[in-house]
Amino acid sequence: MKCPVSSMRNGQWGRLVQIDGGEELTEKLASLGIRVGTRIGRKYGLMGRGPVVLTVGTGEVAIGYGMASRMMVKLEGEEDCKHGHGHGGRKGRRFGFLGSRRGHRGQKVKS
Amino acid sequence: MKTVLLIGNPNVGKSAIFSQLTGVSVTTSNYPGTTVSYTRGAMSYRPCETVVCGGDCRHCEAARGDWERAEIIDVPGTYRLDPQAQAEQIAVDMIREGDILVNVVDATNLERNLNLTLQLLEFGKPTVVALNMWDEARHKGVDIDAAALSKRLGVPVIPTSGISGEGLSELRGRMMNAPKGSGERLSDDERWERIGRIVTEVQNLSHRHHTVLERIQDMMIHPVTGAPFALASLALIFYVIIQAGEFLAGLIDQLFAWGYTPLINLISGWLGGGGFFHDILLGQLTTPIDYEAAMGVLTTGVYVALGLVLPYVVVFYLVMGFLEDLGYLPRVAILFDRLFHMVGLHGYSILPMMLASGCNVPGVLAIRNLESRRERFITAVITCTTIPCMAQTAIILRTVGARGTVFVLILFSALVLVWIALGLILGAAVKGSTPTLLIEVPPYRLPSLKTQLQKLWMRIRAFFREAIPYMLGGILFINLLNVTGIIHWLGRLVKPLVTGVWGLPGESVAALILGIIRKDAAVALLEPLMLTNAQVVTATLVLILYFPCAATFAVLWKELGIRDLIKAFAIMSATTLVAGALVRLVMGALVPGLVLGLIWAVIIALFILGAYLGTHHGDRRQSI
Repeated sequence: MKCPVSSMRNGQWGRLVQIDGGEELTEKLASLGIRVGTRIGRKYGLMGRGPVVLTVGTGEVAIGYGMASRMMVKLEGEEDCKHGHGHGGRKGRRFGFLGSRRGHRGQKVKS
Repeated sequence: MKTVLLIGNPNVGKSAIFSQLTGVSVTTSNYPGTTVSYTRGAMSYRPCETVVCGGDCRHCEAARGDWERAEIIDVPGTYRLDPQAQAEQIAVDMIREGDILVNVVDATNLERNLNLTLQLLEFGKPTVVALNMWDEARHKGVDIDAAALSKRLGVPVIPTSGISGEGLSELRGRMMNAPKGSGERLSDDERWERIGRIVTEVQNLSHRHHTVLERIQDMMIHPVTGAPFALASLALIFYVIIQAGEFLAGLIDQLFAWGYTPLINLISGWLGGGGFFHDILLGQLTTPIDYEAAMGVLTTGVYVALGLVLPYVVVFYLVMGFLEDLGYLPRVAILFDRLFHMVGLHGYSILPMMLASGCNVPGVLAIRNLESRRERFITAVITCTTIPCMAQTAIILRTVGARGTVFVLILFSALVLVWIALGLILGAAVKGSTPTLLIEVPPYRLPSLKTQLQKLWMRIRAFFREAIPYMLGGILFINLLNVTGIIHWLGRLVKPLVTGVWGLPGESVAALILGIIRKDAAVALLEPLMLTNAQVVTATLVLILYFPCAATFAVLWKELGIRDLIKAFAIMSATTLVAGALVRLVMGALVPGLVLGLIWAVIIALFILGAYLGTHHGDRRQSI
């Protein structure tokens, strides 16, 4: 089940499968140890569209929301991610802290 | 003399190793033509034969030669050696010129750190790897086979701890006859593949329960518990800084009275007690000398720099240096990132603002660390406009507080309102991009005292070199305006504005003029004018907003350049005009409680608007 990092639930783990960004983003992430294939866990996100704090290897990395919504993970376990961005396109709850009304800027998720 | 380069990712404890290896003679320089700064120092060592002493030179006195000195350079922390970014290009240039590379690696984050290690080996220079944070890695359940790693890399790997000093003697001994790196060039993919293999082979992770410290760590960044914690700790920090800063300022005052006044009197005698040069250099001397009002470069200029600004700068740098090495600052940046994105900035901009609330001068100097020009400009303008320095805050609490707490609340709420309104406008108007936040969250680490003191010393020296000459220049400029009478002409020019738009008595122009030198003293000058409560709030707000003090003005000029400074000045003037007039209007029409309510209603409305705008335009602003 694929979903953007920004939509993972706190405590969920997954493997990064795709980075929808330029070479620069990919390299910046790689320098912090995040590449396609890396196993990452979401610790928590701050204030709806605030940064997302991830566990990567033995360390932690904070990623801005815009960047997090461009990173796709394949989730471990059965649970769906937030906002119904998984298989069924289920419309999930949408009240984060102020202004997460539009989910992920209408980003299309290939699954 | 050989040059040793310390290279590593940020937050790997490089500075701690640097200060352990070097003595007192440490300097910071800017790389020619850039704002990227690096630190250099000297290390004494006695070369030894690895073959004979097996690495640890403590046991092989006989095998060692004479004392020699090597230069050590602490290269700015970098994750990779991609010559596209300026800081990384500099690291590459330094590596090409250096003799010995010491790669400091964070043992708790081996995989990510090895990326840089393998890139360093490509240079084919003598290389040693310091496997730092060794003690912490053990606590975290990370077990690394250093010998196996050394074999895989082809260079010595020495477990170290920059804080306790473990392994540093061996590092010192081994670095001087280190073998050369392989020089083999790898593509990105090959490199990561190799790293994967090495890590599987040499690293063993054992599961371990969360320690109490880690739980506290999580609390400090958690959305619910983190913000109150941040606010509480900031309040505590400010309290400490006000107290310690005032204490230091008192000491320096005494020093001035005891040692400097006789000197000034002597010079005054030489210059004949008056005339143009006397007025420029020394200004108007009284007995005892009023260093704030004299206006001379050698009196007010030196006093503003050393007596008023320096004490707070010292204390603030000490506290910020501690928080930085502790690992708290990145967390503050993460906590506030969302709020700052609304105004076109990201979380890192809170750091200059925190500094500015102590004294605007170091705040402005810290702005250069921000990535894009847009961020620097917006941060500079909203910082200098809306954030009063510590001395000003203290006197506002005293004078406005005497009128009633509600007026202090109105005043500071109005500042919050101006902050967010100005930020929203600038965020929408200023072109350019604000990069998204992407930072690692380092674990808390207790900083070493030596590193702290070394850092403080370097920063104070940089402050003397970079800020003080400009501050003296600023005072000189204003004194010239004063001596030539331009300032009084300006005073007459703005008088209709002061009386007509803000409803203040004409005498308050004097306070506004004094405010150019010292805003806190200017606030005190309002006291004898018998103002109404509404006038006090308006006048104090205008004093905070209208113009940065001369010292800030001077460093702002230096950091922004003349064109952006003029733009900033125009924005500040417009803000002051509008905010002052609005406050006068509202204060005149409503009771204080309602005013406060109204201000917060507008703040919340802007906040929601900002969140909405952020949702719809946020990503367009971010460059990735």
